[in-house]
Amino acid sequence: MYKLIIPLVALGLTACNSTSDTVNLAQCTNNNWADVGYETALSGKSVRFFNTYEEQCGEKLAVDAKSHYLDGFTSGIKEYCTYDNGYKLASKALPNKNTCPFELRTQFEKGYKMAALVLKEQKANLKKMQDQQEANKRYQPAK
Amino acid sequence: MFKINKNKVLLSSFFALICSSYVFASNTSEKLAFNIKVAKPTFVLPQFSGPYREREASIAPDEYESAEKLRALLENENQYEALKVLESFYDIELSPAMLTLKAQIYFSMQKYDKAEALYLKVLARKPQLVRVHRDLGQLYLLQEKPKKAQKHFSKALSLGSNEAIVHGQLAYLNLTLNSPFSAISEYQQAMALQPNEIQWQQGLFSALSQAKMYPTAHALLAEMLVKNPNEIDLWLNKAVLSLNQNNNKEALISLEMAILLGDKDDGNLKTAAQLHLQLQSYDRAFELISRHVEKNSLNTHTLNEYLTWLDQVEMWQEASDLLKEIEPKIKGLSAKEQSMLFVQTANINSKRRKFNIAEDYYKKALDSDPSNGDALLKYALFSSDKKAHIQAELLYIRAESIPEFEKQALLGKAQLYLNMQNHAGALVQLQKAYSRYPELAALSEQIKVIQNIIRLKNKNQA
Repeated sequence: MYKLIIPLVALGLTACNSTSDTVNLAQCTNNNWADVGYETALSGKSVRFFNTYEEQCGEKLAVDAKSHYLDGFTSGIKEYCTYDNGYKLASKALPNKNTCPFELRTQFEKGYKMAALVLKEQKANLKKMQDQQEANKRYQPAK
Repeated sequence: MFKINKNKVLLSSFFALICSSYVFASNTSEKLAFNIKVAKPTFVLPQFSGPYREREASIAPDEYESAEKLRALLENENQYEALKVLESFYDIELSPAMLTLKAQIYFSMQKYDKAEALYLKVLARKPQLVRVHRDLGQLYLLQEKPKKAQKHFSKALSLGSNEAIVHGQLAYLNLTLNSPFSAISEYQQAMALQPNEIQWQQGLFSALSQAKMYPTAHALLAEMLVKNPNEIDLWLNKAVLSLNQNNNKEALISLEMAILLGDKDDGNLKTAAQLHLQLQSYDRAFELISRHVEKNSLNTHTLNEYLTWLDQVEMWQEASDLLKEIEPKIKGLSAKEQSMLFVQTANINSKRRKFNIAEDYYKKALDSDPSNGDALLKYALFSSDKKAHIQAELLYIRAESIPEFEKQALLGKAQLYLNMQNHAGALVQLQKAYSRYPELAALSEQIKVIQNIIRLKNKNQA
């Protein structure tokens, strides 16, 4: 049954552009939802990733899974949404998925923008150098 | 009243003291205590009206659209729909401002547990949000968790809130949880911000009164009365203040003003009557008593008190009139209550020297309630005065078997024996009373005196 559902769900999620991840069904009955939430936050995924668990696990999901997941997510997101982490992501040219809560967003975005600026400058410098080299090649007098 | 051949002056004064204290305990030894009921300081809850009311946290730019939608819903008082919109988000996705709004909607829908959990969640994310501390304080106040409420109001103020309601409510909590002094300054702040708010004025007045700062309280009250001369509570407060300052006349004037304006509280009417009796304006006292008795379904305790007061000021005719007035209602009373009123009727008739009627009523009182200790003691004294010594003795013996009347019965019997020149019998009763009630320290002296008399008597006989 799951074989039929999973591709559909995955397709749906992809279409929504919220996330393209699927869940490990073994996790449905695990006891460490707080860890799952924490890791989800640290990986930059949206809190709504839990919807995927809800949809795919159905009744297998523990009653208190959501609250533990949200507790873990709340802790994780505080670690994720920092200036340094924003800087790190942008340095690696990774996208900003806008998962930070409003009150933590400012610092994270500041770091992200700073690194993006540096990256842009580096790219511009690189392009400048390449262009210079091209120009040098083009205007080299024929021997 | 007490006649003893030898050493009689000493014994008479002793018994006059003891017997008047105990035999007529309910009549004469009661200290007058005046009680006036005034309204207690209260608190008010604000109305929550929507996302764009003043607040310290701003919403996220990506929430503008939702906020517009929510505003429209809340303006149309569609809280359920607004809540549905907010519940479609995970809490972490909402800005603290939007989350606060969600909590406020829960609060106004009286879902207090959810509101509390959300407020705490907001504070975990942004602890400096003044408005959330204020709202949470009010939530706790409503849930009767005053200590928690106090903590959050204090926090709101320390974070810079300067709303009258926060000052006022903290003052109310300080007044109820701590000392009145800790409330005065907060009430003053609230009054400075909302000078016409009657609640803060009453609260400040209450705090000043409790702190015994009477002149300031009086000045405040005078100002309040100028603005609201028809406010019953203010006149009652003035009466309380005057009583605290032992100015009974001033208290009575204020109390009468409150009654004139329509105060119908039973306790206040009673206090007014009591004050009139004390200040010897008997006609007005009786008018108030009659009005109270007419108005109420018969409260025998109150009636008994009134009759006792009238007896004390020797208004026996009025007391008799009062009893006549309530006579048709007596049949509906319990046997015990009937017995109590029959004793009063007997007592009043005795004072009016209508001894036969008095005796009939004493008998009726004991028929209705044979264990009425007060009736037994009073009937015994009445019989003793009539020289019906045997009957008096029997009645004292019956009273002695009732624990709460034993002491009075022993002393009464001792007096009876002394009246009968039975010194040996009196000595036995006094020794019994002294051994059972060692607090009657003065008895030891009297016992010695009677022992001397007996010794002297025996010597003379020998």
